[in-house]
Amino acid sequence: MAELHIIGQIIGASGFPEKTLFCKWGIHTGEAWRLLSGLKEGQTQVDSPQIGDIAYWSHPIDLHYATKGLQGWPKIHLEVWHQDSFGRCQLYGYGFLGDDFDEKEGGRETEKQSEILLTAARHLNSAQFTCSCVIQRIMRHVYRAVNIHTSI
Amino acid sequence: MEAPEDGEEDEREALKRHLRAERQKRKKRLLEQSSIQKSRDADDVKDVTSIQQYSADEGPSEKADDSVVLSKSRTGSQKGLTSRTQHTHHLDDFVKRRLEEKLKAARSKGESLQDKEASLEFPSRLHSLRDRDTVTRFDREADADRAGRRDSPPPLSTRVRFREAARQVGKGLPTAEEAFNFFTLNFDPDPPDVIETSSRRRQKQRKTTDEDEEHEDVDEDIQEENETQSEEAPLVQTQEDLFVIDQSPQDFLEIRKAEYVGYQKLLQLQSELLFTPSFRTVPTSIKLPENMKPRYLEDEGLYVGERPPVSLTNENILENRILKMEEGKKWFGDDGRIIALPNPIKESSTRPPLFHMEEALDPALQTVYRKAVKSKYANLYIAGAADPEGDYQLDVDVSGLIFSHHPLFSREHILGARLAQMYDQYLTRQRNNLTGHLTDKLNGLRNALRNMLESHSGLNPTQALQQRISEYNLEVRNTRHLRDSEQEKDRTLLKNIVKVWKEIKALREFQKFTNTPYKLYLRRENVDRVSDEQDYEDEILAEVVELEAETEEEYQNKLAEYKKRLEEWKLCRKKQKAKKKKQKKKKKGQAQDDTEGEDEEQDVSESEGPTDEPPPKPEPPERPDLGSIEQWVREKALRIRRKPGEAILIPELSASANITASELCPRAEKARREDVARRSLFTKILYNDKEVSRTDSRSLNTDFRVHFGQIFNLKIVNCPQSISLQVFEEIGSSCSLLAQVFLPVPEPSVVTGSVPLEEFEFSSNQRVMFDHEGVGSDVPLSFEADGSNKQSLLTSGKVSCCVSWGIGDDDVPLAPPISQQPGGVHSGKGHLDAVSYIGASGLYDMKKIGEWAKQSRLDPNDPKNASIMQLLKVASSGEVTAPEYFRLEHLQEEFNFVTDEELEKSGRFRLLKLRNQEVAEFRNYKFIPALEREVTDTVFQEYEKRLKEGEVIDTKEHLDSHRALVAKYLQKIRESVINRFLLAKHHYLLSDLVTEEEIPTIGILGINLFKLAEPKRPLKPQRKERKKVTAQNLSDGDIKLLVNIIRAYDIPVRRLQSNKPGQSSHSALQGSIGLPDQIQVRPFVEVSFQRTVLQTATADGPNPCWNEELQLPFSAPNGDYSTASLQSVKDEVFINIFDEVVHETVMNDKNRGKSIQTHIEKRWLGSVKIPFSTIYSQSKIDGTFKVNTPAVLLGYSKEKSHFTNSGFDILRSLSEGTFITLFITVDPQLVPGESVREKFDTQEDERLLQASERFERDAAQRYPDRPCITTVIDLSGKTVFITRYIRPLSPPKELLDEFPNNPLEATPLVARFVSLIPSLPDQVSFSATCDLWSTCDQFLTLLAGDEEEHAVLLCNYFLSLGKKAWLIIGTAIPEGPTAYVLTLEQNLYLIWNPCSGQFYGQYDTFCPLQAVGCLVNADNVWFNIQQYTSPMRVSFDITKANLWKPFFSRTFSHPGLSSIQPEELVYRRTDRAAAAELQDRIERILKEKIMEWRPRQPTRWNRYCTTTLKQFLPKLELIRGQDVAEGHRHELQSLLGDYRISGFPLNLVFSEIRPIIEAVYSTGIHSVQASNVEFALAVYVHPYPNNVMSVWIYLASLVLT
Repeated sequence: MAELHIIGQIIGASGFPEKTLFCKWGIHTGEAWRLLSGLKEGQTQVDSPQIGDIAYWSHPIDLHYATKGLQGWPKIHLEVWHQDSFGRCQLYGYGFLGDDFDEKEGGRETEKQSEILLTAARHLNSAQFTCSCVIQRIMRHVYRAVNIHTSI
Repeated sequence: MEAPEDGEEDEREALKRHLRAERQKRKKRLLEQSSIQKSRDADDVKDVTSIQQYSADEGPSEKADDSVVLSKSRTGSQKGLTSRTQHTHHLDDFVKRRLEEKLKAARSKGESLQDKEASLEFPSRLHSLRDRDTVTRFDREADADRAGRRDSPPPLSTRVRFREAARQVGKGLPTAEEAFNFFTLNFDPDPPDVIETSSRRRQKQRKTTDEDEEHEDVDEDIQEENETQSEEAPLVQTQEDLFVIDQSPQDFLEIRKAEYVGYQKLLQLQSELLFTPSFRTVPTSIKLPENMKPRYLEDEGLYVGERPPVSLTNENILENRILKMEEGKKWFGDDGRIIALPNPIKESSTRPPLFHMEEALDPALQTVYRKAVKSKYANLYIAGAADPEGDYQLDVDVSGLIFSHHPLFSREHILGARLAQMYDQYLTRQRNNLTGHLTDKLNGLRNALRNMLESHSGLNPTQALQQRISEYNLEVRNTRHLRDSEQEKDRTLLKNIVKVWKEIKALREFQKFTNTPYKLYLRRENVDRVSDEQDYEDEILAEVVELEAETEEEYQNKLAEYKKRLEEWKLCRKKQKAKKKKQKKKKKGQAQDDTEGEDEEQDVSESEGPTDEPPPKPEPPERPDLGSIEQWVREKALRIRRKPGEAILIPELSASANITASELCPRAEKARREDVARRSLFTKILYNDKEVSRTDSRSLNTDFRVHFGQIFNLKIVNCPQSISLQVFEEIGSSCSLLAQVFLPVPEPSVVTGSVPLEEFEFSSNQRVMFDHEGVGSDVPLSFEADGSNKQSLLTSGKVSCCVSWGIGDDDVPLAPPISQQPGGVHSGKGHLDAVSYIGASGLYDMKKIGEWAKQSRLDPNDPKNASIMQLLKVASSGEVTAPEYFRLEHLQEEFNFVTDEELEKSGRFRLLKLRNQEVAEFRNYKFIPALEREVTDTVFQEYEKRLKEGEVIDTKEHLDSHRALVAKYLQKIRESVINRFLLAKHHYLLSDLVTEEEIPTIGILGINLFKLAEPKRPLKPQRKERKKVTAQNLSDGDIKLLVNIIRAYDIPVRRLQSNKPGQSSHSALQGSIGLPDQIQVRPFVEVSFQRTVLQTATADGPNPCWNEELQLPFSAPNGDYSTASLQSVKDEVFINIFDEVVHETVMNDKNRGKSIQTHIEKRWLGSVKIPFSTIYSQSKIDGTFKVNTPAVLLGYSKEKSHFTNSGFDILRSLSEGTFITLFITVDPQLVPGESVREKFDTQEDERLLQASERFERDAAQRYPDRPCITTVIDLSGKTVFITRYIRPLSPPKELLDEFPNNPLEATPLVARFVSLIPSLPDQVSFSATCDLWSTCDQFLTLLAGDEEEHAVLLCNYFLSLGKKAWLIIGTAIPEGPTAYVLTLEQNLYLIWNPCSGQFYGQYDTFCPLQAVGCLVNADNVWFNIQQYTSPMRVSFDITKANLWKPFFSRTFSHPGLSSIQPEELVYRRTDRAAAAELQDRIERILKEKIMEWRPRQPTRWNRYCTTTLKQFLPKLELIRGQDVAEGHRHELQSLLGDYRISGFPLNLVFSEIRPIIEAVYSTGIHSVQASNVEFALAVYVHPYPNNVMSVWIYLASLVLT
């Protein structure tokens, strides 16, 4: 049985036409994955930066998964929304952070900050997103399976 | 175009289409030309005059020509005009027409016209392109011939014109128009092109027409025909006119007269463009600002350096140039010269003088010639690395360093390192599981062999079969040997691990400190003894059989050999004998022939060679002893295997032991540790033997691990030859090289991120010795007691690092191509290597892999091949099934490594999930074990039990069925409330998330500065605002409860037991005689909270002053410090006042004389209970409290208060009592939970709600500290106006019946009834900060409620009794915001505490009510707008509008709100039987508890006393504990004359058994230590209507005197 911790934070977004932004996020996994603890979706606060272009959320993500298989590694999806002065919300961009967000580092703790480009209806924008991913305990036979996975 | 008929013809079709398109284009072009011609022809006919005019324009020389020539030349000129811009395109007739119209119109304008024409045609060309198509298409067939014919003449005409023009030039000056034409006309360059292309096109057309024949329309064909004709026509014509071809190149050229500009003019032009500064000296006045005289610094005596020499002319030029520039003057100094630095050239040469003209040069200065040396790596530059962009990058990741031996290791470290190493080895062995694998293989081989033998048992074994059997036998033998050796290794390793661990333990014991954190656990895995033994025996049997067979075979072999050799030997012997005979014969005949004999001799000597030593007679082989084989096998098995039935031992090494702190270690060890702390390490990275970088210096840890964690990116140019790390050790400032580690140069495919860290070992042979505990390096040392078995260890360790090629920004590995690697490509490992066999790409091909696996005969049992075998299995099975359906995650099942059931079964996961769901049992469960087996099933037992039982209620726990039902009901309400508030709890405000420190303003800064200047007054401390701590960052031990006990008043004093025999108590006797005041009482205070008990010092007298602060630790349930959890803490702080009594007993010992034994006994006098929830919500509690003293305190009496009150009997009796002044707070200050900010649905009128909101807001604005409530939330979560709660309700009939004559007399009884209903704060019961008001019937059903419910009920009762009563909303100690009841009796206001049943006069100093916020009755709410809030200074006259602001006034009258209370309360009859049962039960439980609390002493119960006390308790209830019955005491005294009694009755409200036990425990009655103590316990439960119970417990301890 293998367990996976996803610990990280959504830092913020920049490059959108407006600065008053918030973000909805969620994590999608395959069938084999069970959420042990933590929230797998959520929404950040609205940040309206007065200085600078980056809307900072610093929204923590902390999940604990157990899995019985290797397929369907967690993916995170993000939607960046804009809230205008009347409180109306409008989708500005969305994106997925796919398989590369788990680093198969053989149990090493990695921390990396990845920037994902969000596809937007009108504009091409980017949101920054970091996640660090710790593969905590994968027992032996999992390693074998991983080996096959990479050597083919 | 036709659609392509089929795929094959596609290409052809495309080609055709292309060609056709090309053709069309060309056709168009041609047709355009022709159409132009045509239109022109039409013009010719129509407009002769214009032509003539036009021709006249052309030139006078053409006038004489005939009309044909004229028309030709005209068209030619036109042609020339159009083709000027574009050779291949022509103007269409539309433009032409327009032009000609213009021509007509502008005829009078004459020569200027043509300029216009030229300018006009550019914009109009765009239009023409569009029109062109339509025009030409329809015309072309008709005009094809003509167009074809007409196409060629233009070049002719142009040529003619050109020649004419040239002629004219030659004649003399041309006219302006002619000149213009000459220079601007582009004489038609078409002809050669046309010829060429047309001829080419014709060929193509022929081809295409042949091909297209079937596809093309007939119409098209005709067209085609026409095309060819039309194209052929000009060709023929031009071919005839060869002259044109010869001349054609000239036609391209534009020949014009060279333009000449005169030199003077040129100069003039140049001078306009260029600026040449003059070289005349500039007058100084220009260079300086106006009206300023030049100032010469030299003249003023200042030093001015020599300026660098510049020629005057240059200087002048420069100055002139500068002056022309903007701000040119800033370049000039005060003296009018250009600012310049002094001449930089030194006066004297700095080079040492060389005088080598005659003498030899000083050898030190001799120039030495060295031949240029090529760098070693010069030719190793990586190609492409020269340009800075194509860098290659090596990433060297130096992660850390672990020493396996270090000079500073202590002995324990050595053992620890050895243990760790062996454990590692053990783990690797376990992982590889060679033993298991070999055992499997062995079994497999045996089975195969057996099968083979069985199947062929009947038949005669063939040769091949025999061969195979023997092969198998050999294999079995080899495998067994291997297996045995592996098993032996396993066994010895395990033994060694245990041995080393024992050594470590012994060492730790011996040296009395621990240095290493290692801790070894041996986990036992029990095995099934029977089956294990069976296996064991089977194994031995099999081995014995095999060995027997082997030895037998060996024996047979040997025997065979022996026989063979015996034969040989015998043969030999025979031969020898024969020879000897022969020799003898020979010797006889030797003399006869010498030569012959010699030959013979040689032969003989040759043949005699071996016979000289006759082969020894072979020994017959011994028959092997088969009996000893089994013996031997058993011995071996015993040695290398675990005994059958013995548990499998699994060692587990953890680093969890505590290292002894340095302070506790002996000096030598301390010195070693200090030495360790002083050292630090760093590594240098050497690339091609050059240091490129080094890591930071990191200090050596006590575990001899150094973590660097640095990654160095080496941008390299040279080919990597060597990469090495040098480990340096630093002590202070000196550093020494420890070791060097060479790292391999990575393959180009090894890129960063894909390689794991590798460990490289290093060691050094330095000899180091220490005088402390460090063992040194290369120093012999021994672990044996006798110093034997010495070993010397060298410094060694492992560096974990990795080298890889970097990855560029665009994910391109920054590695050089393979061919440039000096190492070259590694050769394949042999034909069995999968990659070399099928190639890398073939690895995706399952078939190929399968083939390869078959060919190389992979061992399916080998763990190395497991992945491939698995893959093959999966692949083949997948192929067989070939599913018809689509799966999103295919191979999901195959790749699962656990099933769903296993996942569900996992205790750890379950625990994690339950914790996450905040299931009550697991909420804030701290650490969940990392390993599955450490999660015990017991964890879930409680939870599962609860799930199973569900709704069933255990009546035993609650003692009372009714209360059990209530508890269930309460639980349900609680759940619904929690659910209702769940959403509200998640609504955060900004202040919940962001805490911003206030930025000090100028004002505050100023005040602070002013404060600094203030004189310091240490004797006048000022209270500072404490910082509030949010609950989430707290843990156990962080929170302390501070209880400051200041003083107490009116503590009961000891009563002199005069009627007792004199010798009873020495001290008492003494006290009675001597100073009666001093021994009155010696009280101390004991505070108990969460079973922590602290006490103050003992003070003297009935009005003691302690002024002591006690700190009690606080721990939240389950370690959960969230607000919700803290709110629901039910613990109470017990503050008990005790009297310290000292008994001295005289011991008469015959031998030693008298001795005095002192017993200190504490006697309970009274207590104060403060719930933690109150402290938490109030954050501090400060005030004087009435102590709950028992009604009767045996041996004590109240000292009468000395002041006499003003005649009100009630008041006087009220102020009697014991009081204590306390200050309680929580440190650090906790943030109390905020009330729920949620709007609730309501049935109230919107207007009323708005008004109440406004009323409350106004009140909060003007008097923020006065509570004001107008709306409350009822149990169903609806907002209700507060006055609806007030309605006269009659109290139970039984209470009134007691005083049938005077209902007023019943008042205290009613108050007592209300106070007997247990009190439970809302936040405790609902674990959320909310104020729920239940109606009176709900309250009586629940039998638990807040102060508000009590107050409402009491107020309603009072109203029904005909009193004037109000609800007071105010603050009190210790409850904080609360509700009291105010009554008006005989012009006196009485304040009732509904929870205690006590009442206070308005002017009572000890009234717990501190502030009055508002008054409520059924009609109105009045808010206190007086200056003061204290009840003593408040006037309760609500009619005065300037003192009390009414809610409903004339402007907003009472809308007639109906009450939500029921019309009448229904009471259940008192159930005396149940009460009696409860009474028995409580008594039994308490007796058990008291015995439990006295585990070391026997607890004797005085039955006689108990019965006496029991009789007394109902009387107490009757008089409600009001006045002490002196008679009762005397009664007791007379009954139990010989005992010294101390005791008291407790009166409690019944809710649960737990508070009762707590209360009894807190009195400390069980802690009497005297040996001859006896106890008496009596319980009486007095039932009131509706199951309200008053519990009396009489506790007494009796000491026989």
